[in-house]
Amino acid sequence: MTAHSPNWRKGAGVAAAVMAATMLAFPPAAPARIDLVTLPGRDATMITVYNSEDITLVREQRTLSFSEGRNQIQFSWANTLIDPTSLRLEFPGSSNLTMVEAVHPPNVSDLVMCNIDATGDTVGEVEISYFISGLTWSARYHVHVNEDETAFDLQQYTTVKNDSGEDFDNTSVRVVVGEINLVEKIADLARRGILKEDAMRRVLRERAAPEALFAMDMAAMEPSTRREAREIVQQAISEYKLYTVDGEVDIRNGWGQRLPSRPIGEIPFDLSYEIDTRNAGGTPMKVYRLRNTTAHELGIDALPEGEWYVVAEDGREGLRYEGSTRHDYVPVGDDIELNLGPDGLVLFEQRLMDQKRPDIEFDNDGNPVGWTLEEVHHLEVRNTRDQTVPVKLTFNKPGSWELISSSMDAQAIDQRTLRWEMDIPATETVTIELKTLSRHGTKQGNEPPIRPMGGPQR
Amino acid sequence: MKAPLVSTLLLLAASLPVTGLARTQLVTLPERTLLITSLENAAQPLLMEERTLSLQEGTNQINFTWQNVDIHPESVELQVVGADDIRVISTGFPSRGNSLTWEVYSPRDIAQPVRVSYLLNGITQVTSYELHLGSSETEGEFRQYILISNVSGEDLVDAVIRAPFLGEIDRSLRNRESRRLLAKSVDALPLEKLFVSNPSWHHHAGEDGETISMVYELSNIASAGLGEARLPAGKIRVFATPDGDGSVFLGEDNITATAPGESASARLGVVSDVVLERSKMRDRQTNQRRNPRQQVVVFDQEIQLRYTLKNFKDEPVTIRVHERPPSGEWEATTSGHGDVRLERLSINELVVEIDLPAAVGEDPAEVVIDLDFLFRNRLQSDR
Repeated sequence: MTAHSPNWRKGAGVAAAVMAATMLAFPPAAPARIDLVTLPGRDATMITVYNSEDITLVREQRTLSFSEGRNQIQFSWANTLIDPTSLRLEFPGSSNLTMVEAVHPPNVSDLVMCNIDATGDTVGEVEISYFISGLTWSARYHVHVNEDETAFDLQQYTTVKNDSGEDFDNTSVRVVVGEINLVEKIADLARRGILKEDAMRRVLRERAAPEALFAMDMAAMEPSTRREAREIVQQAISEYKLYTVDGEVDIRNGWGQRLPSRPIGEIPFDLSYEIDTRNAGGTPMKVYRLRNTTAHELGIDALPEGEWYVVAEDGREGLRYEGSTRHDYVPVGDDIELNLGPDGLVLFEQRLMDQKRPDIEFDNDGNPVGWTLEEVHHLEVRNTRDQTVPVKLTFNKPGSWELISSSMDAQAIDQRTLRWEMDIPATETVTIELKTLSRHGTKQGNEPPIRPMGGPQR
Repeated sequence: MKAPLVSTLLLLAASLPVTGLARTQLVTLPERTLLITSLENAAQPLLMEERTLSLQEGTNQINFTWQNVDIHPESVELQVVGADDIRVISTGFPSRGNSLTWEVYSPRDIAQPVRVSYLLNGITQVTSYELHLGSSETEGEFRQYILISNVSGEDLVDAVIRAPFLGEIDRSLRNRESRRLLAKSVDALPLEKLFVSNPSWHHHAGEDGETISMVYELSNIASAGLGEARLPAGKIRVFATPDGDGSVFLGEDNITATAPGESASARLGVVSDVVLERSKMRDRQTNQRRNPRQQVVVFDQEIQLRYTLKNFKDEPVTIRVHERPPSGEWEATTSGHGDVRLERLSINELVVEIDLPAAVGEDPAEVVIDLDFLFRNRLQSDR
């Protein structure tokens, strides 16, 4: 946002987001005369970006000079989507200023005029806030794993992308985790109330323009406001989490900014493999497990949902790509499981070895109407690595069935699912023999639930 | 107009003076001092390059741009080498376009080495194998090759390439260039030569004979000179070297990825000097249970398969027949002469392994085996 001046509007007819605040005074003695009295710039800007909806709260501070009597501040914008109904003015510390009304003039789009009464000549701070569309944020985590796969360094990033049409320089950034409810989309409000259809099409077209077409003054790049590393402070706001990024940043239209927080080193984790017969045919997946706790050098803040990008030290001062995975929001104390996909070093084979129908039931016409089916399954896990690996094996069999026996104690997850957790020594194979019984036809009904064969081993 | 195949990866360092208004100024165009291409993750190459930036005290702006190469922008990462007080403050990137801008804070003027790593598409690796058999066919000269191709759009000049088995090699790999490199060599890899048949359960070739394939099995184990890492999937070509008479191509196959401790099999061709005649000699129902309309509703089923095997070779051989019976309750037994072993791999796969003696003179060795299956409690719906 900048003051209305012909100098800043470069390249007429090109994609230019324009927000202008023009202050006019109506001296009491001469109500018909309209004079431009100030050209206010922003003192400070803060944006609060949500990721569950396309909405960003912009709050900016300006210092304005008011003359005694009726003053008018005119806001106008173009090529950006602002909800005009959200515009608010507040005067912290200035009791002699009163907002009288906000006027949306006829036949004029993208413009709001605020009439303010001052009881005397005043230089006052004005806080202006409004909702804008087109900014998004996301979390991203870069993980550098040590060669032994026992610990990693973590760099968390907060990425803010700006396709709003507006530049935000020297801006404080806050992001919100949580699902808010909106009755109407900000973009819809902006389109309906301010922009006509053809103008909207132009906005969307211009949003796709590849470059930020005009820059604000470079004075905004004041090095003293930069941070060597940013703290990202989390606080709970109702059921949401608010993350405030330390310092100020420039977020130009058409650009994203990836802001690193302070890196965390030597986070211990457990390497394990997970096998689920419901997923990918039971292909073993390599998983890094840890917990968002102080024991894992975390536990300060909840971790927003985001992509985890994992590279590993190759032992020769180089890096090897391990994989990328998305992870849901992690509250403090909750588990983090980074599924990096198969590495082909732990193998799994599921084989049905035998079937029996020991008791077939017949109806009065002599036709088979029910039977039980006993099956023997072999679940074989081979560890071809040169180290012991923990393995979590989840076996699911559709339909209704009972467990007759398992050669290794199993944990019942639900009526169709069993789980084993085991440590498999280097180059060894574990085979679990599982006997199941299912009932068909008239034999169905009144089956006992799965009998767990014992609790989890770990 | 076709875009020229010229790629550029540029690092531009610009400084923002500590005070006052500023426009960015080009300070240096640093050259790569090291380029490492990691192919250890076969699906996704990772490049890491080292450059020395001339940083000025305060906040420095580093522009990283590329053209005609497919870099994952989110993966691009700048790491400062050996200086904890020099930090990346932020990374800016346009919604469209191939560039990044880092802001790097430095407390002093310094020539600072940094590492830039990123995922780059277009560098592929294909593994292939060659096996040159000795006269005994119990061992062979094993070669593993990796064909690395660069269609990334970027010239990898004086690059260090790291890949499994290859270790580390210094090579340039220009755009559209491929290099086939010897990754592993074992002079005498133990082999097992197998004769394998996979007949259809429902089709019996009888006197026409079932197809028997020649299969070589090799183990990815340390005692065989391998076992260090997973052998990637790839094509294997097998040659024989008759005494002083050049190589003869025996055939090729694709082997699957083979973890340490596992075996890989290559099916090369059809065996002519060993014959398997497989006939169904009996298929009958017993223990029938009928409903009042005299319809059979439950029954046992006896199936007898007869193998007549002939070995025309002057050496004994072992043949494996993979039978694939339908699901259900069954057991299998054999009768007849010959050394036979049965191994149930699953309810749908039974391996019958038969040792055949060598032919005597012009007379083939002949073995007849009866394989009896008894299926119990079959329903009409099972058929």
